[in-house]
Amino acid sequence: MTTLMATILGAWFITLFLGPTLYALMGLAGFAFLVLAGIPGIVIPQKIAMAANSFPLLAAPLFILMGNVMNTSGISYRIFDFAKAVVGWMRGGLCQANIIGSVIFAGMSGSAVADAAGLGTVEIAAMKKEGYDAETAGAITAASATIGPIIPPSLPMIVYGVAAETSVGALFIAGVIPGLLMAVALMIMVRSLSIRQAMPRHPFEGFGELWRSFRRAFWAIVAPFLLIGGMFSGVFTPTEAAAVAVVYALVLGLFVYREFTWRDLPKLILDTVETTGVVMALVMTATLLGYCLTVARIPQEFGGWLTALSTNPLVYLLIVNVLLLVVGCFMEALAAMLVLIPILVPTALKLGIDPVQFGLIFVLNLMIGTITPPVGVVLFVTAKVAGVPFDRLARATLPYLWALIAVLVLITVWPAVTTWLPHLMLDK
Amino acid sequence: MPLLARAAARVVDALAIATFAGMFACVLAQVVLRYAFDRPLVWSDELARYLFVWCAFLGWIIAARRRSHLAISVLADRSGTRGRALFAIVASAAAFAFAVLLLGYGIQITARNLDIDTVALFFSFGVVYAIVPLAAFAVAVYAVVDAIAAWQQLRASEPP
Repeated sequence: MTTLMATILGAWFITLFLGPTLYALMGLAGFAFLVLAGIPGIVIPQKIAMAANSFPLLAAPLFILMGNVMNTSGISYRIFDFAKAVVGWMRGGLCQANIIGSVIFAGMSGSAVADAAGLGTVEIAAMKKEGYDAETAGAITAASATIGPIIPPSLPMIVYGVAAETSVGALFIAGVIPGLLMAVALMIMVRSLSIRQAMPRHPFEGFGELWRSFRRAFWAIVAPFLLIGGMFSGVFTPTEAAAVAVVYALVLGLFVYREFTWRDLPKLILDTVETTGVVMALVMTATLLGYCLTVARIPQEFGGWLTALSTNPLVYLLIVNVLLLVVGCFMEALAAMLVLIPILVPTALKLGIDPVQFGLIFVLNLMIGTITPPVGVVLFVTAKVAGVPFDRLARATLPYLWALIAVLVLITVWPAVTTWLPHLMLDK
Repeated sequence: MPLLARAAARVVDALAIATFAGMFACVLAQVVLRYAFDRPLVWSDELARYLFVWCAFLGWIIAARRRSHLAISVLADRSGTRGRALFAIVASAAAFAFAVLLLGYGIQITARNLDIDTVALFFSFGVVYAIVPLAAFAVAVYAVVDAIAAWQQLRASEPP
């Protein structure tokens, strides 16, 4: 049965490039296995529908709505203005502001695509106006967008937590330090590139302007602290925190900033349901495929084969990193995650690797995959926003890739970077 | 026919908004009652989950209509009009095949669950599963529509 499933997986991977929707191919691959293995097909609707029957996963649509509300309420402008006032005076200042803006935005949004398409539109327009070329603007936008799903809230981490049976709250909190490290690594890279490419710089706008932009962005800046604080004082589960966060965002948009009215809500919700449908179609069919992998004993076979090579956790992590980086180039992140979790996680746990650290490594790898060609969702969206060809943007993003990989190496070899904060805040 | 399609789309949209709002209200009610009044609801968690199942499938339909489901389009993007139409036909064939499977098995599982009770709610589990064949049917229809459009494009771009 293992060989059968491996063959099906191979065929599935090749047909992916013919362009059918990922969910349909995952569903068909699952069906093919069930039929050939003699398992009744009624398992299909059961696995698929029950994948959505999960309270933790419910946080996903709520956070998607929150991101949509935030993007509509003009918050992206306020955040970017503030970031510009803080770091705009450096050489390559708007690149730096782009990173700082992404960090703040990441505290309210859980998706790299939302960052690239929402905040990215504002950032790229401002950078072009200031004389940056479109590649430079697009590259830093795409690279910094990957911070979004590392700093909580995070869509991929919700899905990871549910699929790998790891605490979503612990994953969220574990992402804070790596997310900030990514920002630092990117800022250092911008620093060295800006000197070499003689990027423009701004005069410092003065403390008055800094204060004014801070006040304008205040409610957006404190949002992450409320969210994280509520979740980690043990008051709310991530799902409940998400619902409260949506209320916060709605109050902000409807009454404080008044950028939209009640009449805009149906469209916002409809767009949210659409995105939920796209995400859930992947989650549901990948759950089916994951079930097939388990029935076919692929995890055991793979684990046995790997542990025969070495039982050193660091060697295993190294192999996982390389595998995920390569797969990330060719696959969409959520789908890759859901298919690989049942294969890779059991062995990691058996080798004594911390489940939270492993989750962070997993998610960061696949987020890096969103900005690598040939299949990179964030790169694709950013190329459209910036109006540059995909290939040229991919090349311009390359230096930042190294910065992100440096952070990946750090969290791989040094578990405390990801495990210290969750232990500190959750083990009382 | 277009009138019927538009009407069906409006029903789906309305249901989508209603299930999402219901789900959101359930979670909020749970927060408020548990923390403010210390009286947790027994059914809010369960209802929220079932509404989410519906919401996910309704979103699936909407995404099929707006053609926003994720696909790897590297090859299609690099080919001409004819190539792209061919890729689109393959894509709709896959979507159609899976939708038909889901329709058949979806009806079976709904029928089997009609007399199985939910934990704390008044309806049977069959109601939760009923959205599977409904969504599958809608997606199958959109797949056929897409295939016809791609076919026409292929015919139109045929060299004389």
